[in-house]
Amino acid sequence: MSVDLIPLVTFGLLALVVAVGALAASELLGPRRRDPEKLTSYECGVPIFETAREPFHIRFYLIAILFILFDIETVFMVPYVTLFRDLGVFGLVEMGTFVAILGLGLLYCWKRGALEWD
Amino acid sequence: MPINLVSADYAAILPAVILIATGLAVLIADLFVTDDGYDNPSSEKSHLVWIGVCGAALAFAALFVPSGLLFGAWSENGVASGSEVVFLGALRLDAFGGFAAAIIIVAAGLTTLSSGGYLAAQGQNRGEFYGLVYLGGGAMVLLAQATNLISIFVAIETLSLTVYVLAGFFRKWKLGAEGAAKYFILGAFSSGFLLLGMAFVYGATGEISLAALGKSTADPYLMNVGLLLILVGFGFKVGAVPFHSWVPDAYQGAPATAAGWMAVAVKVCSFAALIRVVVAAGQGGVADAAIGKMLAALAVVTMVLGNLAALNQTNIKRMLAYSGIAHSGYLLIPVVLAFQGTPDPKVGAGALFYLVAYLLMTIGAFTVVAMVSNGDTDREELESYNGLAKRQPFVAFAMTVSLLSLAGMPGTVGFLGKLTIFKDAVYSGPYLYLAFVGILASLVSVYYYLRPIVAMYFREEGETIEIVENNWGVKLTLVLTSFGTIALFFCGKSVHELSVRSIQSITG
Amino acid sequence: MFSLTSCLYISAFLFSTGVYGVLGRRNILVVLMSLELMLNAVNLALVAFGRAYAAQDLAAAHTGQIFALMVIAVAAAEAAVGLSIVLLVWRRWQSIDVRDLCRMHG
Repeated sequence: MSVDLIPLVTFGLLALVVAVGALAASELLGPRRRDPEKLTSYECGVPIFETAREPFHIRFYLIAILFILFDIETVFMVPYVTLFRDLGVFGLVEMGTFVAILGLGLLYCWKRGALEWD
Repeated sequence: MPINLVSADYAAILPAVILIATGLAVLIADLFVTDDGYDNPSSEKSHLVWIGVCGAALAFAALFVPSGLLFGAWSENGVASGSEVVFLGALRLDAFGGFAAAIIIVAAGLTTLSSGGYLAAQGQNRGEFYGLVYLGGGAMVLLAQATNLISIFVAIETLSLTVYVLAGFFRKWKLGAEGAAKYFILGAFSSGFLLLGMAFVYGATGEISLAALGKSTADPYLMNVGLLLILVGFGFKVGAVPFHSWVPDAYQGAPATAAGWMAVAVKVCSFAALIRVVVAAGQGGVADAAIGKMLAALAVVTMVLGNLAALNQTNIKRMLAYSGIAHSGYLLIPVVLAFQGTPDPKVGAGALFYLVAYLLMTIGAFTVVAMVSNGDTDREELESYNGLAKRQPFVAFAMTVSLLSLAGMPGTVGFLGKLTIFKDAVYSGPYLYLAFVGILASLVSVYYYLRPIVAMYFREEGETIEIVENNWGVKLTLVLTSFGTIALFFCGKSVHELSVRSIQSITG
Repeated sequence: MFSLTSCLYISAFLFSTGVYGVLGRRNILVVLMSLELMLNAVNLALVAFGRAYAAQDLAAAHTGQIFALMVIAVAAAEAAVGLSIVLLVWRRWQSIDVRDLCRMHG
């Protein structure tokens, strides 16, 4: 073998030891005294008046997902803006195509009714 | 720095652009055709199928335009076509990418044809299915052409995202949600390792082109760890054995036609990218020989365990899933040989030719599964095939052809594919044993491929089962796949020559 | 000033945390977050490598950053698809516990 694999093996063993050790330590050393009071959620010391496990309405997830998708386009916009003089017409056409496809996505969401609140 | 694109750049991305445009067109068309539109998922929506098939045909034609991907290899007799680096090194215009793209495009067309009736019978015929197939298909074609780490990563992630969604496309099935979740978690997990490997390669060389994998000035330690992580990532994508646990669940939960698409297209583009990676790494000499041995071990384990696990499956989709794993094992043999950099630059050609065979027989088998199951999970068990030959002689015949070809019987293209791969391994010298293991494994596989055939021809049926039959698309798909499977056995030589010329465009 | 090595240590720590989260936690949402953590750990490594190459060659430095931007975009798309799949799992199984999903037999 042309590569010295000892560091790799050492690394692997070390990772194994740390992982197993951490799990074992928390299993062995951690005290486990459960009482119902301890299992309730902590709300600034005030007695809780409703459970936080109330599920969000599904439309929040939909809005969140759409937000992520349309928000992230900025990742491509910002580098383009810093260079847009150098890129000239070519860059403009590229960005136009990109935005047009995003627009199609928006049209799709709209027609599917994903943007309606009720 | 202004960027100037020349005609080669446009020729290189033309097929992918057509596929993506088709995907968008299907999505938009499904929104606006209202009378038969998206609020009625039980209709057959043949307009969407037509848009899809026309798009696939256009994309296929785009491979052969002058200076297109396959133009050179197709027209110049016996000469490897010239290849060009396009898009500043992100992609490469060569026959290798073109050959893989051709398989992917045909797979997209056949999947579209066979899906309309099946999805409608299940009441799940939504335009998104075709949209995802074509958007993913565009990413797959780009992956087959990609030659730098960024384009490989972006393409592999884009196509993965589409197939995760396809795996859970039957939203009413519990199994669909489960399969999609498992596929997603394991797929994204493997992407993390793939990406870490790419970061290491970039760290070792300061470059992101695939040629950097062979850079002799690189730090060999970082480089080899990076390469290993990249191979692990690809191992997940193709379903090689230690990383295969998602395959049966994802295939079982997915619509049958989508399972065929996942099996074929994802394998084609992943193996294309994998071969590019190992060829680049093998030529450099920085990569450790131990990596070649590990790849060989991966091939052996995948062939053996894939076939053994398939033996006692009673669900036909799971059986085909394990058989797909086993086929990944066979396909890893040319990858090992390509890594080794044997004097013969043709060794990878076996993989390309085998993928053509795999396309025909797998799409054929999954189409029959779709017809018989008719959208009902219970009818994916082996008993549902009892006595099928009496009621539906043609469907039973098509299934028989596909299964015999998967088993590698003479008379079908699967035999030629296996022959090519094993012959290369025998001539390679040090990897002779891969051919032995492969032959033994295929002998074992004959048993489980024969079980559905026996059920179809020699068992009495318990209850009469309706199948999706009055659908031209499904029938046409079966005609094309079974005809192709048999015809390519007799005239597979030209396809094989094309595959050899294609592989020479990257191995030189 | 951060050195390349220290950045890589942090990146390795984050990546391992992500791997632990995927393998060890039962809640799919936590698994999803861990997957994102893995990708972002690699982003840190990419940018750190790019920074290290900046001293030698400008082009190599930029590739690392561009790579990281691409990964961010991909990670966002992955999060969206992942969330949708989690939602689907919740509707079908009334559970987002990974172990409940392991009912199929291999």
